[in-house]
Amino acid sequence: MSEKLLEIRDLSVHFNTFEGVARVLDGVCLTLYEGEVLGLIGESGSGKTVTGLTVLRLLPISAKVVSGSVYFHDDNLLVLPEYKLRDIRGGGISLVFQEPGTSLNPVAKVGDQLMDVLKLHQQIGDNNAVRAKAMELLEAVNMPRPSLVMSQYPHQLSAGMQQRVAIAMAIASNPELLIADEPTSSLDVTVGKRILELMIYLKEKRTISSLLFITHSFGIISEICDRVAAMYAGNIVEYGDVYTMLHKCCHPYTKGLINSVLDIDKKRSELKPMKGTIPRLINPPSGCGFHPRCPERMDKCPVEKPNLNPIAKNHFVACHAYEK
Amino acid sequence: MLTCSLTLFIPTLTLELGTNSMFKFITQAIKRSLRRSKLARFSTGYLILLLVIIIFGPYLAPSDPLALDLEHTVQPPSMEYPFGTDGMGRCILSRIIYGARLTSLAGFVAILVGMTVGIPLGLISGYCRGKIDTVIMMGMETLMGFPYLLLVIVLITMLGPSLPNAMVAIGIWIMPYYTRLARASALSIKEQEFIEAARMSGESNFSIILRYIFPNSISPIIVWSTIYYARAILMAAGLGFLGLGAQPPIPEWGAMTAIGREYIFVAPHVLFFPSIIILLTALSFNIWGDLLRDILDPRLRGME
Repeated sequence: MSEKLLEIRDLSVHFNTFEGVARVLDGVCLTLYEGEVLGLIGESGSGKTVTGLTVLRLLPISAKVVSGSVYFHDDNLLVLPEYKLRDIRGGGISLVFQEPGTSLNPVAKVGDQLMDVLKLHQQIGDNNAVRAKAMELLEAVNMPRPSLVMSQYPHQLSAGMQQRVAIAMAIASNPELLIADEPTSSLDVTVGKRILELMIYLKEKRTISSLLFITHSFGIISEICDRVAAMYAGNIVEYGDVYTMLHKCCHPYTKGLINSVLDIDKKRSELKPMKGTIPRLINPPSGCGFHPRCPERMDKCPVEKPNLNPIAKNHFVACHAYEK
Repeated sequence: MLTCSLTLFIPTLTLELGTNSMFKFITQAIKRSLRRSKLARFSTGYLILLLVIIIFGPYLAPSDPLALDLEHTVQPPSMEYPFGTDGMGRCILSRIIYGARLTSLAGFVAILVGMTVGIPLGLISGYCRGKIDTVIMMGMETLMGFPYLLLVIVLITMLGPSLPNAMVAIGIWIMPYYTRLARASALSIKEQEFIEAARMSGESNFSIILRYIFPNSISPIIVWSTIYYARAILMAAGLGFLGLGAQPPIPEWGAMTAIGREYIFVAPHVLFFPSIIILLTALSFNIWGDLLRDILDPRLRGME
């Protein structure tokens, strides 16, 4: 495949809380190549969003990066000085947030916000040119009546339109990598589908080149992603291309996730939900984090933490059952 | 007074609402106040009257506020002198009319001094936290620790007693309250996602404070300003009364009450008229502040 764009190595992030230290990320390794769409899937609280935020160093004060590195091209983003990082934020890497309504400044017009981003990252001196470019962006995200939307405030738009604006802002600076943090989760299904179609369309038009797509729906993964990483309790548990992950997945957690999706082709299909909930990260289970919920538990599991091992080409699993 | 408060609010409101909706906003505010209660109707009417007096003062005043008429000292209200005359035979009504300009200016300058220094400090302190926050807030809390009159008297003693100095001193007294208010707003706003989104798009800290935090924290600041405007007027009058503000023969309301004090048993109207005007003005501004709070509160927005 092509060149490595983003490489996360052994990333651990701890949060200091009143009750103790929560190990939110515990040795995450992830590689994203140029021009691919990588899906990051997992239950709520498995550390997907934190991974996305760590890449741009947007973590809250209570979080601490304990170990690891995040390489974007040749720069380690975790040690880069603030002024260089500001060029990468928005310029090299952009983020689309989960809640479109809260990620826009409520007291500034949509057009002004878009133009701000454009002025910040692209050397266009002329105000009219910037305005024209902003209109172009709104058209690119299929916004109905862009000239009207330019002079409206975020609260006057619907959630779907707000998310379109957020995407327009994210792609305004032609980022090399776009991180989409559950961009469809807070929208209702039909609107979410249109946003997803928009992302696919932008990908095909090469407006977005590489994409890290954070989600908890396999349906979305199968629509858009090239490769998928499944995350559980701050670890990557399985990692492979989308076909392998959907049809030949090995890790009991990934199987559980797929079993909890309804199969509409079968006449009478039953959901097989996973038992239990995600563990408390302040006092995580010993060994493999999934063992208390795992149907294929072995004696070794509570004792030793499994490593991410390759079991086929481009397919990695962190499970004792698949160790050679 | 209303002109002053409007010149103060127009830039901030324009930031929030845009020029076109500005006019709509003011008419809406007045309409709503008229619908609301007798008290609100009264204060709106009173403030409009004051506005007229401030603008057209010299044409409305029946006589020169500085002209002495030593044949008619401490006269009760009459056709020639509607509010009577003071110890020097000066027309009290004319002095009140001219004094409206000075007093409103005093409140305006004081608020402006407090705002221009206090708000940026508060926003920086709330946004940056850490050591900067500790240092700024320690300074402000030290200022707040002084009894207000003592603080203002100390400042005026240093600067010298005059109306402009009194305005600055009151401004310094108000400043920490603005800092605290701005800091509190900044603290809650900076945790919201659009700030994170702004940082994500590579905005500098300075522009985040200026373009994201400040416009979003404006509503409480406007409301506070009306209430502190009233307090500043009261304080300016109080300082005038103590002889630390406007010096005679300047027609300032507080200084006028100080003159009236000498005649309280002989001719109570000399004290009564300026005092009641100060009271009504402060009261009207407070009622309007309450009204603005309702209008600017996002939770109540769009209810009509």
